[in-house]
Amino acid sequence: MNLGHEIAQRLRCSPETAAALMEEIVRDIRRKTAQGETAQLRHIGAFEARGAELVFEPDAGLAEIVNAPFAGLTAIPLADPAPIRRKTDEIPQGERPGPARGGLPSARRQTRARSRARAGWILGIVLAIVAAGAWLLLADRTRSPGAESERFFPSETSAPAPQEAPASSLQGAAPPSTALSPVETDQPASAANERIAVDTLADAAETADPLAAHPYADAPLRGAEPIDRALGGYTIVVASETNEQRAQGWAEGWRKQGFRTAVLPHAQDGVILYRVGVGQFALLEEAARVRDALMGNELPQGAWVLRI
Amino acid sequence: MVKEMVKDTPNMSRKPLQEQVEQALAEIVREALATRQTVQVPGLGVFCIERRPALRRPAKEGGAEFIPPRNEIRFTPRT
Repeated sequence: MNLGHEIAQRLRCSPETAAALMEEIVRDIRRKTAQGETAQLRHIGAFEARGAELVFEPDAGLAEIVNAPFAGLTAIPLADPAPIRRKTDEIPQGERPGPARGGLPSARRQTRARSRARAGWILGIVLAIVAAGAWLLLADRTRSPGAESERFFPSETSAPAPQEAPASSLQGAAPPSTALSPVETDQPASAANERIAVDTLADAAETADPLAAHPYADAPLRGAEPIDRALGGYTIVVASETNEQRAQGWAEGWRKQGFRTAVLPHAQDGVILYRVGVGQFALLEEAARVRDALMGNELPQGAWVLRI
Repeated sequence: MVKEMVKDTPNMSRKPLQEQVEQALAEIVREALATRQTVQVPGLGVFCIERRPALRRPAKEGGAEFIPPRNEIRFTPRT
């Protein structure tokens, strides 16, 4: 990823300008840390120098975003397994070898003690497995049942054009193995997006959470309102087609199920891809969380988050 | 130098220019890390995600505890 080009594309300025400004930000961080101060990069984290090394402490929000798939999971205390006595441990007075206690020879008592310790270990391991199973069951309960995902991804859908990884994975191929699928960062060249001027970006920069006030914040996933591209945000792509009519058909199917939908055309390598998006979210983490919660049930396995 | 560039870029307001770049940088880094992609910030370093699997470890209060998996953000400074 070329960061300079990416920033330039988002701010609609030249890559040289973006690169120079980014260089200035980096220089500022380096200068502050060299003076022993902590340099803060908003929404990313803090940098400080420890010895000759530059140490990074991520922002809490960023840590939450990357851990969205594991949200809500906490540590589970497990049963304490029976302690194992080492040969070097002091033997309690009552268990000293010598004349048989209760008539049992010393070797036999040791064997019994060893088998008791082994049983304790086995019990501990069984309890650990049961606790882990319970934890996994609780984690699975967050997903709601449903069976619509297969219907919208028939294996015979057309895929004649070279396409990006997420699109191809949606067109009948195996779902991606990673927990998260890629997020599209390209800005589609739509008339609506072109209207977003840099002045708007400047205003947004001054507010702490600029997207929180969006009108679709209350019902981002379901509703009669179609996705409004002019408002921006993020959507979950559930299908990609090279045929617009077919993409509209998919979108209609999702709309009938109560989802807010839109067909988002995107030109790539001379081919126009029609992406079917469901929901419109103000925040990336919100979209990722919904996608993770519904993927495999209401949303197909290959669903991925796209910046509108 | 930056001022000259701002002159050449009329659709960008001057004052919050650096803030806009900072915000765009934050957005890009957040989006990339959320999808476990690696991001290289020239002159600063590389951000990436390391997955820590679930583990069983001794608890402070005695006994043991089961720690769920998590993703950690790793930063490798440019040397």
